[in-house]
Amino acid sequence: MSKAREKIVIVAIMIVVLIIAFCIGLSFGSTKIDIGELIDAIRTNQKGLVVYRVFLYVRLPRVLAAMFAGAALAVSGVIIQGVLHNPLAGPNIIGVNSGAGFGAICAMIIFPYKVGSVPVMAFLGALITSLLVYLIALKSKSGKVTIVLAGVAISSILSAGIDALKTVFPDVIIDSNSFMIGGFSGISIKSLFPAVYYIIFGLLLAMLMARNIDILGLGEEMAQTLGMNVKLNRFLLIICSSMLAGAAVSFCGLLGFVGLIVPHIVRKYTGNNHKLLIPCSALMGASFVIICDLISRVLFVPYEIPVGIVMSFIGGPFFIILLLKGVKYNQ
Amino acid sequence: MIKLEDLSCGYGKKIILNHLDACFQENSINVIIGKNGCGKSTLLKTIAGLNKSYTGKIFVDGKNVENINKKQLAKIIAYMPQIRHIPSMSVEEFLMCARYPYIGMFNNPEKNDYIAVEEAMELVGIQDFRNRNLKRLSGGERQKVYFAFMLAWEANYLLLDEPTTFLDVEKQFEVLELIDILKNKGKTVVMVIHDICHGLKIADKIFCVNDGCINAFNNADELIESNLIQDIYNVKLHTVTVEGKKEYIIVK
Repeated sequence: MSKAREKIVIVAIMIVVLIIAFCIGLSFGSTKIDIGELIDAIRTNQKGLVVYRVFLYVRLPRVLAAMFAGAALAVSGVIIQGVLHNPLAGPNIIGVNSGAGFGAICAMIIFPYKVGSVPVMAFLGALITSLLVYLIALKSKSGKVTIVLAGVAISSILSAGIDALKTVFPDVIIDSNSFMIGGFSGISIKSLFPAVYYIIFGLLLAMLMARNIDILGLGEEMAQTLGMNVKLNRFLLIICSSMLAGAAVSFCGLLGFVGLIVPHIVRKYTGNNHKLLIPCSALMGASFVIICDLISRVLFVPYEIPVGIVMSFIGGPFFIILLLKGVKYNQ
Repeated sequence: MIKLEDLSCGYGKKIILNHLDACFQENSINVIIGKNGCGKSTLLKTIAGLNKSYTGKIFVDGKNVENINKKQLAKIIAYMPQIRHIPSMSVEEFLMCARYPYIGMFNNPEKNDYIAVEEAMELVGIQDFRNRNLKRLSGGERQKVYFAFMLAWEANYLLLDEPTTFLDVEKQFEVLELIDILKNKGKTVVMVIHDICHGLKIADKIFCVNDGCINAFNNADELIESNLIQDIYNVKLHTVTVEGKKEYIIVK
């Protein structure tokens, strides 16, 4: 039973970290929000106050966006790595991100005046890409390595497509650049929907299928003889992960790194037990992105650097240190 | 009892086993030997339901496997592939995966699942490393865990693909003892093995796959008498008595 307690402790710590990150993320920025002042404003319903407006229209949407994007991308990475038995896999590797990016840029070109079309097209792009990757793998009748290779090939085609569009339609470059790096500036509550619904649905679905990811991890033959429908499960999981990644990319741009490193870091402590790995990755992904976004806002106040840059500068070295330290689960 | 009737199978369009008839009796150890690429593993996979390109019939407990649904079959036949993915999880968590046919996707493990895992660990003698990560075990320890996995599965028929490969001699003998444990638990074991001498020691029945055909022998003497070993491998099989025990040796 000490084992079960250990799990509860891990989850509890992650929840506390997220709550702290969330609160810090809300209060710091180019203007500091005083919590007491804010509570006063909410209680007396003074909607005109600066602190109230900053909180409601700038800070809250931003932190929420970072939270949902982090959770979604991390879990998307967990699923892809689990399904493909490939630690190198991530939403950016199998082409989901570039699919979403391609969709988003198409939206910017085709419907330049309809802001709402970007998330939808990004999501569609992600979904179509991952389905395409999966179908190629299915058609070639070979296993997980083919999926990764097909993803890499499609990803490079789509990147070329993005670059081609940027060259032909230089006007969209200003928008697309911040999209390519990824960030949360200028986000509003409105732009989070309906993507957040997809993310919540995707997270729940991932939790439901956690055990099946464990079983898939034993290898295809084992999974099949244990009575699991391997193809169907793999298919559903790929849809689930592209839904998560596509939804996140639609409002935060191409933040690829979270999906690769967060699952790795968490797995070092939880192992491949997905019932634990998925919620922990979601929590840690959320905290990680909130903190990176916070740093991107406060480092060079009043200027802001895209969160994608901060993420790589912090996450990269941290990841390498972890690799070198070789923290292993249950040594 | 597993019964094969007029079974032809292969992979893809290539057929490597032709019109086999064979029978694996209840609570016995059946050893399949044969050259590399003769179709031993394919046969095992076909029985396990992993290979759909076959003609003929496979009966398990008198029922055609085609008429048994996947989930049901998973409770009857367990399969241990030669090449496996080693997941990064604790031994206990891993063994709980063997209960998947009973637990399914949504339910939580129940008391009898924990009991099955506990008993399996006890029988194989691996209680001490229940919390260790599967990835960090040695080859021999890991093989024991896989046998515990087969026990926790609680299937009646266990198909093992080369359970002694990649192990040192001491561990190979340990595996033979583990297979004996399986039999004592009432299991029917069908295994592919490269080491003929090991195979003969524990086999209740020996199946020799050659040129797409299968020949069954009730004991080693029958096999030696048939001269089949010489035909297949171009070596000679002898029995010798060492310290009062019957042993088998192979000479060129």
